[in-house]
Parts: sequence; C-alpha cells; structure tokens
Amino acid sequence: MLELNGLSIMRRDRHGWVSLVDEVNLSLGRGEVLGVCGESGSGKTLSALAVLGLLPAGMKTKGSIIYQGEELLGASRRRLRAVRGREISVVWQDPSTSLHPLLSVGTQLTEHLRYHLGLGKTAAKRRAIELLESVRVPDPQSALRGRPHEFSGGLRQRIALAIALACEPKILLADEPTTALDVTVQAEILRLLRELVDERQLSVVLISHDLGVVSSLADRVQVMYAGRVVECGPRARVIGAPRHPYTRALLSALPGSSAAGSGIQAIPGTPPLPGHLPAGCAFSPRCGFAVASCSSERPALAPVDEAVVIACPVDPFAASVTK
Amino acid sequence: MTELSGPLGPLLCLREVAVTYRGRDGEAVQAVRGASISVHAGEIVGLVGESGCGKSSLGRAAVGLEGLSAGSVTFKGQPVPTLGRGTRPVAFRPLQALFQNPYSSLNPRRKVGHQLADGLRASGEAKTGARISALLAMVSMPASAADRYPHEFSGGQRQRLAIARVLAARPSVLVADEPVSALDASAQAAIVTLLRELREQTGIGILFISHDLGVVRQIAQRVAVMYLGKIVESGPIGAVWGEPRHPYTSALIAAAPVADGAGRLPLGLAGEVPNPSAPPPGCSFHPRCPIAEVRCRAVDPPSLAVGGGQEARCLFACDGTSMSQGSREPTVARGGNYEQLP
Repeated sequence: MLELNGLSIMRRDRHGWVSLVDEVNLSLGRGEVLGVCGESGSGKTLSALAVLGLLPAGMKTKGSIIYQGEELLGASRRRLRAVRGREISVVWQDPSTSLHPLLSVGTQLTEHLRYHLGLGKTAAKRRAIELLESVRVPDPQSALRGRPHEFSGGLRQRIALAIALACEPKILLADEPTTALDVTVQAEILRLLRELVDERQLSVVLISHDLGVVSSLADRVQVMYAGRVVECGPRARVIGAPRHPYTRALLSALPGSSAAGSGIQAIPGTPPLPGHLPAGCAFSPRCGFAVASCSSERPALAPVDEAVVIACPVDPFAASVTK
Repeated sequence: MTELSGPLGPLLCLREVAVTYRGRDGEAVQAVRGASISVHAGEIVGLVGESGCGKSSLGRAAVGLEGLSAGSVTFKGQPVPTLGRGTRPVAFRPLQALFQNPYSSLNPRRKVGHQLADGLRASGEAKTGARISALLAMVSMPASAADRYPHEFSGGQRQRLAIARVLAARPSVLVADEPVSALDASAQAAIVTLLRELREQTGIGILFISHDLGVVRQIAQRVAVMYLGKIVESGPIGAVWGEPRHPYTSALIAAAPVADGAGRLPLGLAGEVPNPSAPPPGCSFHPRCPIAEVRCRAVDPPSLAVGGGQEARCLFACDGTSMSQGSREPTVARGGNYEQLP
C-alpha cells in the first residue's frame, strides 16, 4: 500500500542542512497496523507529514514515498490534494486543535464529503450521520449541529476519526491518536480502531511514544531513534522480545510493563539534538552495550532473521532472544 | 484513612474537603465533594483519577491555592491559609508545590542559579554558590547549570530544575501535580526515581497527583483513586492494584495498555464522566458501572473498610469476588455504619 524508501528530511539552519529524518524505510500492507514509536524528536511525526506532503516550508526531502505504485514525493499539489483525505487521511493527537472550533461538526464532516466525493447536501448529511454512528457518537443527528467545544475529548477524537474515515481512505495515519485522552477513553478508541481495521481492511500507521498503545494495536512495530529506524519486526518480537538495546531501554522505562513496584529504569543521558548527532551509532553514548566501533561506524539496518531487522552490529540480546 | 495525631500523625491532612467553583450562569460546580487524604513524613501518596475528577483542585486546596467550601486542610496541625496577596506565613514554607509543566514554572529570562537563589532568599537562607551547587547535585544536575537559562535544557532536565527550586525551601511535604505527564517515558522514569530517592534521603512526604495509575504504582506507598470529586478507593498501593475493591479502580487498571507484545486490547469503560454540576444520584459511578444494581441509584455508598487500610466507596466492596479476577475473601467485613475517624 505504502512504501517509504530511504526517506530523508532535512531542515536548513545557520550552519547548513540538518538531517531530521535519515533514510527511513517503511512498508505498510493492506489491513495492517504498523506502530512507529520513539521518543519526542525521533522523527515519527515528520515522516507522516512528508507522506501527506505537509512538511513545513524550508525542508528538503530525499528518497521516495510510493503509494500504490505512485511516487508521492514531488507529486503535484493537485494530486496531493486529491490523495490527502481521500486515499490517505490522518488523525492528530489533539482533537481540539485539529477540529475547527467555530464550525459545526456537520459542516466539517460534510465539507469533506462534498469536496472529495461530490455528494449533494442531503446525501452528504445522510452519510455524515452514518459515519458518526460508525464511530459510536451518541445521537448523531444533534451531534451534527454541535460545535467541537460542546463535546468531551473522547467524543471529539471520535468525530475527528469520523472525518478522517469519511471518504473511506485506504490508509489512516494516526499520530498519537490517544495521547491526549484519559486511559479509559483511550481504551475505547483503540478498540474502535481495531474494529475499523478488521472491518474495512484499513491500513494504519500508528505513531505513538507509548509502547503499551503500540503493543495493543500494531501488527508490526518500527522503533525510531534520532531520525533513524533502529528496529523493525512483528509486534510480538519487537515488544515481546526486543533485540536492539534502545528498544530494551525504552521498555524498561515504562511504568506499566514491569511487574514489581521498582522495576523502571531511565535511559541515562538525553536524546541528541538534530545537527548534533554523535558519530557512529546515535544511541551509543547512552547505550550500556556500546563497544569502540559503535562511536565510529554508523550501523546499518540488518536482518537478524527472516522477521526482524536491527541497526546494531553488537546485538547483545541475540542469545536471550533466540533461545 | 486512619490517622494518628501527635508527632506520628500526618504532616499534611485534608479532611472532608470540598471545593466549589461558580459557573458562568451562577450554578455551583462541586469539583471536590468531601475528600479526605493525608500525607505522613517519608511517604508518597498517589492521587489518581481522570481529567475533571477534581484531583488538581484537591491538590491546589492542599497548598492553599484554592479556597475550601467545606472541610479543613492542616499542615503540621495548623490550618493552611488560602493564599492571598500577602506573603505566606513562614510556618507553611515547608509545604511546597510542583506542577506539570516545567516550561511555565521557571522564568525563561533568568538564569537557573538566580532562580534557585530566589528560593533560598525566600526561605531566609544565604544564597551561597555552594548551596546552589548542592541543590543542583540533589537533582543530579551539574553545578554549571546555574549559569544557563531554562531553554537550554530538555523537558526532563527542566523538571529537575523545578524540583531543585522547590527543594530550596527545604520542604517537608511536596504536592506534585502531574509532575511527569509532559515527559517522555525515559525522562518520566528518571524523575520518578529522583523523587523516590529524595523521599529516602530527606524523609519528604509527597502527594503525587497523576492520571496514570501505572506511574503511581512505581512511586507511591499508598494511593487514593478519585472519581467525580470523591475518593472512591484508597489504601496501600499493592492492595489497591492487586485487589481493587471499587469497580472504577478495576476499570482504570484494565484500561491501561500493557507493553508485552501480546497484542491484547485494553478494556474500555462505557459512557462519559457525568457533568460535575449535576452528579448522578446515589453512587456517582453507577451509570457506567458494570456491576451496578438498582439500589446503587439511590444509595451513595459510604467508605467501607475492607481491611489492611484499604477502603472503597462501593456497596459491594466487601463482597470481594466481583471486582478483581482473583476471588480472595475480604479480611474484614464491616457494615454500612462506617464513620469518618476523628
């Protein structure tokens, strides 16, 4: 469905071009949920913006973004407009900023249907009600007349999801879709997403810093650090038995996953800033398993078996995983 | 919660606290409806709930940032005054607050060292370089940080600096409202570890307010769970997490996604949090409760002690079997005539 090949994103600053996303590969199959995780600043959101052709001005891209055989990088504005929302749509983290505060929910939903699908007023309204029902917004008739601020955060995110799904896109980019929500509401939205994926064979790129969220929804998981992919593979492997030291470290920093009350462990140091990446492996200064060559040679993504790739030649967890 | 008085009693004690806001059209919104919680020296008490449950209002009331419409807040036995224009009485300086966003709690235009010196001066201490370095060392920051501005640090480092600023007042109780929610997982873990160490080293008591029961489990000894302005369950963290007696606590635990790679979807909770200006009659949780019966609509359940210091506001709290997967018998079953202890 969607393939990113060697996607790099650069931003210009005083000293020249600074790499923000570095040669990221990604592939997304039909009806598949790909979880993309990493700390803030790892380039997760930028990659999604690039797919939509929505990168801020002043950024340069390299590589390719192939959607169903078609190159999107450098595609015309008109073509991107047609793809965006219709074929590939997006839900953002904060529904209170992605919805227009002054327009009624009905207007925002039907606008979309009329632009992309050319529906008439009544047909668009009928479809809008169906959509709100499908994301289980109670009383869709009156919800259409409401404005975003009249709804709770969870309902707002459902409405944003209804808008994203309005034109039956093939791909949904979900950027931290539940991060702003309470945990019980988050659970409801995750379950709803799973249903939509199963019913419509929707492909989803789920971007989240929360490995718990990714673990509960994603089929495959890609972990990013400082703009590069460090590990990618099936969910059960990457989260259940991670191979890259960074993925391991990220998991042991999670409060929910460790069984005992004292298991969490912070990763020493802080993520590097773009433009100040250490030589070699970007994670090496914070890595407990780094050897001398880690700070000089940049590790390439290499398969450890038929399912998992990691960017770590040291591979300290090889034994513990293959047993 | 059972409380002792005298030197072994709690440092910070909130009793039957109510906080009421006036809505635009004059209607009263009761954000906190009679909540009691206490913090002893050297103890971290978690206060958990979802947005709008009143946990922040309760936290603000605890440090005098919010007026009470009922109940009392005492620090070392003295009532905490609501902050006005005047300076805070010296006796209450060891009661400090820490907020979610370190970006807004530090002055962006002044060097870190100057801001720490302010804190020292306010608590009547000499603002020596050595003392400032010591404060920075307590939060594992280099002494050179004093000469830099807040924007030069990451979110996690900034929260450390905000903690150093609080420590300048030599607090004995800290009310921390969502201190790690704005941070990445690793930075969260680091701050949680730091607060745990501070508790061990300085014997500080912390009221740790968070929406994340998972984080609270990592840091707190006791926990109180809040729903719609009331504390619905409280007790030792192990008991509350392992054997929740209130269906809302169970729902919170079941809703947290687990990063184990198994691909299990967390369990949701149907419905929405009711409007706090018109809470449902009877038990506030009954419209969303999976085990509610007819009487739950009529009876507002009192806090029932289930033993081991655990209490829950649920008519079925002592039935034991209904809430958690486990089915251990409750250790103590007390009837409905439970009284708030004096």
